[in-house]
Amino acid sequence: MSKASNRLLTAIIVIAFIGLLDAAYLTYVHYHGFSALVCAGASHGHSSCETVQSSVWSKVGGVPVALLGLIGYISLFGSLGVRGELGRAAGFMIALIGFGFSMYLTYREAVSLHGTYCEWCLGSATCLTILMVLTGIRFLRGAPITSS
Amino acid sequence: MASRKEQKEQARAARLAAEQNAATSAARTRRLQLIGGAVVIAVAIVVVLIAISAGNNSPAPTKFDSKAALTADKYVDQLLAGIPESGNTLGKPSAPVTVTFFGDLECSACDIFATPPSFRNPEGETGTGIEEQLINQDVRNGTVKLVYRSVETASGDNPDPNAFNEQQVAAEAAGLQDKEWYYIELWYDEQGAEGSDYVTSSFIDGMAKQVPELNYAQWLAALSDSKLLSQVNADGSAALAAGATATPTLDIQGPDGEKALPSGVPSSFSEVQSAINSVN
Repeated sequence: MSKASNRLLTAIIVIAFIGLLDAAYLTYVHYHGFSALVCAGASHGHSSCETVQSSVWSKVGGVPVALLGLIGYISLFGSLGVRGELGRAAGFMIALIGFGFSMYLTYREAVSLHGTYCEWCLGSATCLTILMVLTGIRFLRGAPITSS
Repeated sequence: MASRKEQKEQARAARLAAEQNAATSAARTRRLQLIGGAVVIAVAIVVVLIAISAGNNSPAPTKFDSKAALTADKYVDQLLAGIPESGNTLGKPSAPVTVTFFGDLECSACDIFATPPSFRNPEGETGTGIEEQLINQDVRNGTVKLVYRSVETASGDNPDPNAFNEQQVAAEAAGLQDKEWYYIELWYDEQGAEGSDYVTSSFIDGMAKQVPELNYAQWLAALSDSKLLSQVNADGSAALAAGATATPTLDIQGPDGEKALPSGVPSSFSEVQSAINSVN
């Protein structure tokens, strides 16, 4: 593996780990109560994160969005263990799903929740945006296309 | 002229080059197929997630004999008890300060402004209780009269383009019987999700049927009064003139001048109180 590929893989692992910790924290808070939620923003007497985390947008079909995020990051790590183009394509696909859905949730924060943002959600959205770009580059670079 | 051996080598090299080109082309095609498949699957999954998530946001409208509706009735009864109402005005006509509330009945930010902390709207946001404090302190003691004026904001997301006019005219029709504020407060307490199609004629009717002592037949007849629609349109123009491009917007006028708060839910009741004090 080239140095550039190594650096790219390291960057993906670091960013995905940060996102994983973020999602794990939000999942923990979801099941253990908002008293454990550290948040800088406030909205009408409640922390902005609490407003976002208790809104209708915080669940999909009854499953907390934070838990979906956690599953997504774990799947992304799983894809890194799969060799070849299939693994790289799977990694890109997972990051793309995460990016698309986190953009939708950020739109909901901006529009439906009138600009009430949760820093942890924005942090995860940022991680997923970077991961989408990095996994996309990793896939497109891939192994050189030559016959043996 | 090339020897027979050289000709053979050239043919072999050409065959190898053709094989290499074919392999490269196949690898490129496979890579394109993989990335295309990944994008298609990702988009499909995101669309499904969004569809499920958006479905969360369309709870059934409040039933008018439900516990939630009875709680809203009780709350509005207590909130407005003993305060004079006239048309779109709540409070003593002689009150020195006029607070104009530019609102849209479908706006969930108006809902947050108008409801107490015990209420939660379909978006999951809790009320601020700011309007309750304003009514209990300044309207009740005769310092402030509250005037409601219509301006379309969130209703623009309703799939029914007529919903805004119909709902605001319905509130004004209640105003002809001096029950507009009761209608408005009930609506905010039972408001559906923004962008959904909950504003049906049965929702509008049901709201009127919850307003105590409202003559339903008179109210129903007033819905076709074109003056009410003209008033809704005039309110929209007044809102533009006042710079109220978002809701809620509070415009405060008193003996010492006028103060328009920034559009959106005030940060606290004290912000509203300071503005009232500055013009009175």
